[in-house]
Amino acid sequence: MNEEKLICRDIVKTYGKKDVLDHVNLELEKGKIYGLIGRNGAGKTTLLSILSAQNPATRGTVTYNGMPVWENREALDHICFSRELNPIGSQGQSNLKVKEYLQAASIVMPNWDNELAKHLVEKFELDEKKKIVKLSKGMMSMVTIICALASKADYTFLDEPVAGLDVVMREYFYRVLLDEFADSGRTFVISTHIIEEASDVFEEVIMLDKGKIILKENTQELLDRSRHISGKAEEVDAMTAGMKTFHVEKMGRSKGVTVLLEPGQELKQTADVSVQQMNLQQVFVALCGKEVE
Amino acid sequence: MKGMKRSLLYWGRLMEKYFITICFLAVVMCLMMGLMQGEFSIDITAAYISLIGILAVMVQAANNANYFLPQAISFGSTRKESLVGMQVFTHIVVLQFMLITMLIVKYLPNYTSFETKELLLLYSFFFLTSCGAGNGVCAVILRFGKSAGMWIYVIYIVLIVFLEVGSMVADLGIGAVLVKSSVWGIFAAVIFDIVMIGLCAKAIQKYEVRA
Repeated sequence: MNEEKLICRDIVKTYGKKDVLDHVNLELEKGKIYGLIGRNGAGKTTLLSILSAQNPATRGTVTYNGMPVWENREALDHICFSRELNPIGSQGQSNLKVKEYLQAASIVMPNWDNELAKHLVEKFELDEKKKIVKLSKGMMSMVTIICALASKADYTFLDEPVAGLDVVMREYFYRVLLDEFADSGRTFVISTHIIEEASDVFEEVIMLDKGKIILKENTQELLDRSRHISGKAEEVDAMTAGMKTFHVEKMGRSKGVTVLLEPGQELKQTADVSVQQMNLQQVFVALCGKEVE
Repeated sequence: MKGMKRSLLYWGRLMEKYFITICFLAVVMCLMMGLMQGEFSIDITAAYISLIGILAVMVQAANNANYFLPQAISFGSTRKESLVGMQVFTHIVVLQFMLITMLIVKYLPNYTSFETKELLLLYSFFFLTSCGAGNGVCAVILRFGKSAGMWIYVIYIVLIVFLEVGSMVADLGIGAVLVKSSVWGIFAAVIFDIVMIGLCAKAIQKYEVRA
């Protein structure tokens, strides 16, 4: 019997001549919270869309529990990708009231938890009679969060769930997410640009850059081996000799680099060189940001 | 509940709500036109009612392609389930519009000379071609985007307005002549609708949900 996993193999997605996703291989295990981070246009939403069969891949396969996900009811019953709501337009879904939108979701989603949805509407202080088009950006995020959490899908994807939410509501979202995770053991994949704030929540982090997965690792282990080294250029070069360096910054005779230590590698702090631990946002900038000369 | 049942429920709720809204709007519009003209012209009222019904079918097709289909797929419906749900309820709503229009026209004093069979043929032709055209618009929007679909939409509306209002006001009876002569008109409309459903199915097959 297959272990419960969502697996994508060699996914390529091409729009025109551009490869938005370039041979992506990914395994998502059950019972983890993944952070999917990448710069704008890196392919995060496209990847989540393909994983949830909302978009077809140009090449490659996505399987859940060994079954293809594409047009497969049995597999799709376990997956939910709560997309960002589009405020543009005065007809259709934007013209639905919050209540109607959640009602439509409850009909299509097989494991919908109406009690949880009601509870969250109350906690977020959402006016159910309000039309989606009239909601603020933060309130639209709340609706997508409610959809995602109430779906009770084993694999739940959220695209920028905290966009537009104030700090209080963001904190509340992370708390509810962790409670739900603890209760159900569902898998969540959260794409976000507010990295530092969410890093405590992510068990694993997936970094996507220009359509390729450049890193998939336990968040704490990644942070434990990330170092920023700065000081005199010659000293920094000597210290990092033989190591792969990222995000090289040069300022006159000084230099700053980021390294990811491999098992067994160590750095010795000297008087002229500073070695610092990094947070997830700094690691992300080092790996996906532009080099600064 | 299985996926297909959920899909039928989803489309049923949306489409029936739309049907009720359009019926309400049609009544309001006819009353307003009557008030503006100072009298309730039966010919014009009948033309408006059938016109609103036919256009409503077209508008719903565009709404389905632009909003409700992407929404259903993003909630986890398969494309096949969505297509079936959408088509079943599009045709049920068309039937409802057709029956209501027929009933109104049948019992309006000026039209009592029409046989039920003639009315059935006339409105079947118009509603089936509208349904087919709606499915065509839906396919074009899904394949090429909103603006391409809107062009077809505009051309069709102009055509229908010419046929319907023109025939009523100038007493040309174009629709009646078309249909009275034979049932081949209906047959052609059915074939047209089936072909357009096929195009719609083809467009949905690899449809991508966009933000």
